[in-house]
Amino acid sequence: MELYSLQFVLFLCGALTCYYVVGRVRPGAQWVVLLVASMGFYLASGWQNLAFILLTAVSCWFMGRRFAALDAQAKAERKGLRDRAQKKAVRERYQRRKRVLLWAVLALNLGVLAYIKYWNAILGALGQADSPLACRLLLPLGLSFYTFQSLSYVIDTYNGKYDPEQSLPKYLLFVSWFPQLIQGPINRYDALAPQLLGTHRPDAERSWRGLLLLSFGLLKKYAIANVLVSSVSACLDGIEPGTPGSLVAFGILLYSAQQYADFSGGIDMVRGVSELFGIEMAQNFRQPYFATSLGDFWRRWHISLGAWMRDYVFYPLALTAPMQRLGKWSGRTFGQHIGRTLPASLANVVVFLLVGLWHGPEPHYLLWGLYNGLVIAIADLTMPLSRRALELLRIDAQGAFWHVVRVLRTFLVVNIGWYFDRIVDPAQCFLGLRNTLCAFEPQLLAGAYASLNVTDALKCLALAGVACAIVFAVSLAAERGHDAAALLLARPFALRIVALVVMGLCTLMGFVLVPSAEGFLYANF
Amino acid sequence: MRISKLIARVLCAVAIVWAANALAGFVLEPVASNSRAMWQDYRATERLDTLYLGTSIPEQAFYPQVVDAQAQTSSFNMCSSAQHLEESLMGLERALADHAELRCVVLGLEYDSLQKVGVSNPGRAFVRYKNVDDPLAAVRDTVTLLADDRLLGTADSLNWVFPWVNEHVYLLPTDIVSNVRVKLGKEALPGASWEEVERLGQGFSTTSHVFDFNEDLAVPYVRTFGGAPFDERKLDTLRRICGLCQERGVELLVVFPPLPVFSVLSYGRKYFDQGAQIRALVGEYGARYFDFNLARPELYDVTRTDVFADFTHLNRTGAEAFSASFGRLLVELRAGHDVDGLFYGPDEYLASKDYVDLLCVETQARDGGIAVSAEPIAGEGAQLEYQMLVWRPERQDWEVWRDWDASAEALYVPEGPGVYKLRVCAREQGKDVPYSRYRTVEAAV
Repeated sequence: MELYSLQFVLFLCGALTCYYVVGRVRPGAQWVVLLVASMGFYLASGWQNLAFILLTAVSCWFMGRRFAALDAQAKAERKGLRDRAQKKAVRERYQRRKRVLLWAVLALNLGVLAYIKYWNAILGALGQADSPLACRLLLPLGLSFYTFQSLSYVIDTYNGKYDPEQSLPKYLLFVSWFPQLIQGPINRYDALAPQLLGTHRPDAERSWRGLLLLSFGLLKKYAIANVLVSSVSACLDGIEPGTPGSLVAFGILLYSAQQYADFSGGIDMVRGVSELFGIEMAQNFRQPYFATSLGDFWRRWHISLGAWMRDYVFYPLALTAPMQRLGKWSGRTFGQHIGRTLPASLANVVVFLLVGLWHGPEPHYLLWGLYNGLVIAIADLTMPLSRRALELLRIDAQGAFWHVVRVLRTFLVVNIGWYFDRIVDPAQCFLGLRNTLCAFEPQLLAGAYASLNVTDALKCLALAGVACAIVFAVSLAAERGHDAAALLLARPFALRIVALVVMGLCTLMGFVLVPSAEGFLYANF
Repeated sequence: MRISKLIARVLCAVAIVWAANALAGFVLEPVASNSRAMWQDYRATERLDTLYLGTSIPEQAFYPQVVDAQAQTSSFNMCSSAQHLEESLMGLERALADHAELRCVVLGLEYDSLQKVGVSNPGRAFVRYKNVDDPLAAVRDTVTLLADDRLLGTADSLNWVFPWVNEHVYLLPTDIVSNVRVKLGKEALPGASWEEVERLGQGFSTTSHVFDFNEDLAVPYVRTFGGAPFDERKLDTLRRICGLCQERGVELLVVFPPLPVFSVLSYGRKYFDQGAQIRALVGEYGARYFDFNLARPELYDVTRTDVFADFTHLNRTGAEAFSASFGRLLVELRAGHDVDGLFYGPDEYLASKDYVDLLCVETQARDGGIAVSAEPIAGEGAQLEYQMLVWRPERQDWEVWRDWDASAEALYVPEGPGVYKLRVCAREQGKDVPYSRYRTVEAAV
């Protein structure tokens, strides 16, 4: 069921009506409506996949309770002991049991994810693509997202961050909350569950915010991302030695807009839908193209995945004993700065390789991850040199000029990364980079683009340009600390409707130009 | 908030959205769309004994007046752009209800009609104008289409609420302004012609443009539509059409109108297999299948190059020629003659096509030059040779850089970097003509 469909509108209206009617009659039971709606939404994507989400929900829910039970048992046993060594031994014994269980549930869930997502790629690499062992299953809706979300719950309960959920249906709702199933965000239990299980009454301002967010997401998805798909493909699929670098760079710039609009637009839409129920999901984008460094960019782009990687991969890895030893050794050998940043830099490279792998098993994703990890690592390691250079050049690092330079520099670095992300064949990717650097030939751009015969190319670019201008204005306001939605909500009612209508018309113009809607880029993760 | 204020706000919101939708519709919805014009013609039709159904290919092929003159029928062309079989069935039911005298249904079938789930906009327009005088039927047809797999859960289902999204004028300022001026009454509807389409009555519309096999964009049918196996649900709909005709005692002829020969050749042997599949299916219901692409010259000359408006549709000349042939076929059928001999079998057909019908050219920058590769679409036995030329703007003339040779590939090494206009000519070996087909491309090095 597409979000932009009559079926979804009817489904949403039905769910909202039931939700608020139940909220009036029996407030404590509102979460049941959400669970039924979520299961209904999931079943609409294919009942065959229900087993996977149930497996994840049951295993993680059970393990969360098991951890709490083991903690309680350990506490009880330790209570009867006076000897500290015995107490420590008891704690370690239970910790070992918990660790075994943790690894078991991680292996189970990551194993399912790996089997469905990577097994065929591994067989293909071994020349066994047609093997009877090949996975014949279609990727279940939201597999990566709900797996990561559930594993964060398991690790948090393992660490005793919060009490586990006692009710399986309530936990199932946390895993299957329907707006997050398509492409995230990866919500945290302690932030989402209280909202899902709480009581919500209709709220005009919150509903307005939800509608605005939903409309803004539709504008991004259908008036920018969708109308740029053909141009991006035409520019970047099949790069040849004679392809002008300017055409490749133009395609990458369009891809920047397409990808951001597609992913953040989709997230805006699902966050808007969730907001209509009074449930605020995790923010996933914060004006990423205003970032001043690549590290900053990744703290603004796909925030929930970045935070997940930070909490469950980066810190555990950077704080391991070998990494600490490496830090001490390099501190002694190369100085304090290197000693402090080298473990983190290495952990960053590993994290970005994993993020690359998360995108898919193809080599270009690994290259993309490696590129990002290395750039961030090098930037961190050479930070003192950069500071020294600024001092020598007498540049005010806090000034507006340098801020703009850093934003533009980051934009450039990010876009180089998109070459690896978008151009599937690594050889073509390096060819595209080479042409961009060595054969830019801007005078050939217009002719080369025209010769691609993209349907309604200029109209698509014009519409995307208008929509990008709206997105830029909203982003700029947000970057300056203004809430565009709040500004609009302070205006007269009719003006708010007009704003919705303008965004709606732009969205519909996207369908006029490109009648067939593409799915979300991140829907199959 | 007081309830009265809430209601006022909801009404205000609905009014603004409705007004915006109506305004967009006023500006963009064509004053004379194909479906609207066709259904206007239909309502004006008094007698109808022969009905044509199908997509834009039969829409621009069956010229009712020509067939009527040939076969003494009173026919009507109910085809529309990308008409799905489900819409054809709706149209058939309507015609059967309106015209007890209906005796023959001609389903203009192309393979894509049995393959695609496809675009929905014609369904939207077809149903809309079919039911302007019947609100109940409008609701029934709308629900039927919205519940169909091709719309259910898709963006098109929501865009159903905004008719102008799928049914609009060309997005050129001149067309939009002209559309608005006609609607405002400041400009007359340009007679029977609109957007280069001539409407000649009885549901028939056509164009006079002649497709140039050498210069115009040409994409073989199989590359446009994919050549997938037939969809089981579409075959079911075809069975329902056949069953309905059989039940009502109406003769059903399933006819594939002519495509350019290159579309048949590039489809491969599968073309004949899929044709046989259709023949077998409709045969179970006593209906007959005729593929005019396999017609022998004595019935219809498929090799003519002046009969197409583009690489898929016939122009007015082509419609006249084809409809005259189809009329003759009807006469032969009515007379009870055996008409199978008027069509080739697969092997005979392929053996009869020993020439190049379309030339495609691929280029690739390589070794400091442009690698040129000619890709002809020709009969199996065709022996071809190629000549390669480059445009010299300073002389405003073509210069041969490789003379006639059987090799379809060559490397053009220019004096310097730039964008070059290259032409490849192809002809059958031993034929003393400047070319049989050519294609011009631009390539950068």
